[in-house]
This record gives sequence, structure tokens and C-alpha cells, in this order.
Amino acid sequence: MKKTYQILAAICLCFILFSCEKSDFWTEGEYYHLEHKKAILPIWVKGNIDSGVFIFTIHGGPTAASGHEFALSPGFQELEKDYALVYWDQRESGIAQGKPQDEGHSLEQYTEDARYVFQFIQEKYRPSDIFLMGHSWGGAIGHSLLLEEGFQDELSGWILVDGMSNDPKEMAEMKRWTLEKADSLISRGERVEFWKDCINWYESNPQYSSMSKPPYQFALAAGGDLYDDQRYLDSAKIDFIQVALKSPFSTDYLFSQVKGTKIDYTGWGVSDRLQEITLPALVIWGRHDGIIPVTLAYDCFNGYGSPAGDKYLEIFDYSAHSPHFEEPLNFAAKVSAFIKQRF
Amino acid sequence: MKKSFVVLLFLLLGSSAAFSQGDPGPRHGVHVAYLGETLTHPGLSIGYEKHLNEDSKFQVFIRANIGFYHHYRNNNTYMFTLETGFRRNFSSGLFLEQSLGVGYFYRQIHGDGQFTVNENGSIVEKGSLGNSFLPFVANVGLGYHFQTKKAQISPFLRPNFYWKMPFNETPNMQMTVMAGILYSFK
Repeated sequence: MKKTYQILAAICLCFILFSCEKSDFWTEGEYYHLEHKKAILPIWVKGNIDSGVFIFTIHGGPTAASGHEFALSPGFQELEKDYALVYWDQRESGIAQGKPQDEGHSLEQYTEDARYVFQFIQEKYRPSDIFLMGHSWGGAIGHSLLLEEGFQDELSGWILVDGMSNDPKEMAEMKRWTLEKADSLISRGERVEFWKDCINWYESNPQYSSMSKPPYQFALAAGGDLYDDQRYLDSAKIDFIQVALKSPFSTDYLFSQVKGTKIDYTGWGVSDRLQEITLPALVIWGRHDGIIPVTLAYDCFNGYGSPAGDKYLEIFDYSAHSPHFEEPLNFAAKVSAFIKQRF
Repeated sequence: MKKSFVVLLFLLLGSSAAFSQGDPGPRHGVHVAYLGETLTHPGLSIGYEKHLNEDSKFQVFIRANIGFYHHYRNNNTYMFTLETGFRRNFSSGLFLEQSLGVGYFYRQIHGDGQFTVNENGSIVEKGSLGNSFLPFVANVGLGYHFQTKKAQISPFLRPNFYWKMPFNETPNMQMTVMAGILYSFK
């Protein structure tokens, strides 16, 4: 009996010690929540806040992503040495909380949220410089913000990472990229039936919306998201145990990954207005991106109205949709060089 | 919601069919337990259970729990749950149990500051942000009974699953693990 109590006491002690131990990584920086229209958005300001130079990130999705993922990238961790990074989760995404309503499922609402988070950062920190960075779906929000009157005046630069600008062309390019991959994989005898199903799906669905899942599932299966899984695991070095057990991540994050989006952005695009974006711009893209293929990178770079010496295009040869995870240090170097050129 | 209550009622009534006349066991129990959201976000649970039959091998119970846990930079949750279920006691002292129930959770945001956007577009600090939920609860558990002359002391491990219906308009499951001591008496 006595021995049993000792064992129980030891187990309880282990629970308590393990629970109380906090990782430095997750306690760094300052962590706020902003409520807007029933959504509660977490905001994590991390890195060299004293620098006065902020990088305001906008994550991908919609919904199946989190701004906290950026913080896991060694590339962003490298940038944090010199700059303050603002990571936040959009409504219905990551570990955002609250009870947002159906009418909030629109690009307009997400853009409005981003503007208020941006306003919060401005009022809280009064940064000397803010660079806006949008990845994937975050490109749609970023472009929408940039095209609002006066918003570019608030910024020192814009960084687009495999980001949205033209949904119809992106869907067409994703289809082209996926079908080329399907042909190639069939010719190599890999998952022949699956890829035939993919071709059949596209033949029988000439029209589909942005909410249609199969195009994304086929592109992901073809490696459109990650160029090299092993390279990603080696370079990203994510401690998944820490993420699961010690971080602000909760099961909400897992559910945000699988529940799917309610946002229909079919037909959305700003390709005819890109020339209105005149501030310094850096376009970063993975050469093997199958979600938003690399042709869109050239469209954005060529379309921006920024002076020729003030816009840059960087294509990453070993990346697909997320260069910040697949080539993190190269990513950090390019972003840092872009920012330093502004001073 | 209504359907779930019917299921719970069925469970409660159905389990009464399993009542049998064996040695009368303890009639009441209280527990105190570590409560960890996803295991490691720490909290505490205390509860009371009443046994509805007198069969020491197959105990049917109703249970009320209160508890809280702290998830750093995410939330502090305060909860109350009501459950009913059964416990299969083996002669070795080992027991297995399962239960279903409903609860009320208040989830208070935790971070370095909470702010809200006013209707005029200004951003102001807010003392506290939070939401309440009415989750369904499903638990399984295992433990071991130690008999003393007056009572039964039972360390247990109990994973809890909460199905939060009104969360971001999408059903969302949450998990905690309880590890504690159940003190049962007549």
C-alpha cells in the first residue's frame, strides 16, 4: 500500500513538473488577443521589438493555416534577430477563438480584420517601419489592403510569398500543373488509377469554384505544396512534441485544418490593378509550387507599379508553396537584404 | 441536443437492467484529480459521484465535476459537467469505466492583454474576453481499488473528450486527461 502511494506520488509529481515547465520559445515576445465581430484573434509580437522595424505577416488558408506556423520556421526565427515579427491568426483559423458568424466568411471581412490588427500594432508599438508580408491566401488579403486608399503610405515595403492575386489564372495554372504531373506519374507507373481519376475529374468538371476541394487535393498529392518532404523535415526542424504539448496550439488548430473553408473567392483578382501598387516590393516564390504556380510570380513582379529598382523577384529552386519552410535561411537572407536596402 | 439527452436517458435506464444483487459496495465517492488539457496544460478537478445500484461488480453512477485548467497564452477554462456511466470492477481490484454527459464551460482568454474593436473603429483594452460552451462529454477510465476497513481508495486515469458544439460554428473536440484519487464510502 505504501509503495503504491509512493508510485502515485511520483506520477503526480511528473505531471506537475511537466506541466509547469515552460519552453522559452513559447514564452518569448508579447501575446495579445483582439476581438472583432465575435472573432478573437491571437496576435504574437516576437523578435527584436526595439529595432522599430516590424514585419506584419498574413498567413495562408483560408482557415487551414495559422500565423503561428511562421514562428516555427528557422527562417522567421533568423529574421526575429533583427526585426519584430507580427504573427496572428485570422478568424476561423489556427487557434483563433470566439464565435464568428456566417456573414464573416468573406475576403472583405478578413481584410477588415487584418486592418484592425495592423491598427492595433501601430497604436501599441508605433513602429518606425512596417513591412507587410502575405503568404498564399495572405496574398489576397495583402493585395486588398494595399489597394485601399492610403494604406501603402503606412508601409515601407511589401513582401509576397507564393501569394494570391488572380484566382481564375491560379486555378487554371494549378490545373495545368497538376495534369502535367499526372501524365508524368502515369508514364512512370506511379498510382496510375489515382491519377487517371484526377484526369477524369477535371474532364467531367470543367467549371468549379474555389471551394471545390479536389483540385487542391490533387495538387497536394502531386507535391505542389512541398517539393521535398525530407528536405522540409530536415530544414524546418519542428519539435512537434513541444507544439502539441507546450505551446498555445490547441485542438482548435487541428480542427481548423480539416473543417474546410466557407469563403468563396471564385473569380477574385487584382491583376488589372497591380500597377497601383507602387511601394518597394519583394516577390518570393517556390519554383515547384503547384498550388499557385510560378507563372503568377512573374505576373505580380511585372504588374507592380513600383520603380524597376525597387522591386525584386526571387525564385527558390528547391521549394514549392512554402519557401520559408523549405529554404528557410535563404528565405531569411532575401527578406533581410530587401529590408536593409530600404535604409 | 435533444437526441443526446435521449441517448443519455437510454444509457441510464438501460444500465439499470444490469443491476444485480451482489455485495453492496460503496454508495458515494469523491475525487480530486490533476486535469490536463491535452495532458500538459494543468488544472484541477474535484467531483462527487453517487452509485445508483448495490452491485459491487457493476456500479452505475451519476457524477458531478467542477474543474479548471490553464493553457498558457490560450485560455483558462472553468467547467462543470454532469455525467452518468458505469464501472466494471474486477476481483483483482482493477476497474474500467465509461460515462457520457453534458457540461458548461467558460473559456477565458489568456494572454498579455485583451482588446476589442469598438463600433467607431477605435481599439480599446478589455478586462476579460471569453466564451461559454455547452459541450457533450464522453469519458473512459481505468483504475485500481484499494480496500480499507472504512472506505475504498482508487487511483484512476481518465481521458475526457468534450465535443464543443458552438465553437467557431463548427463542432470541435477537445481532450483532457484526469489522473487522481477516488475516495468511495458507504
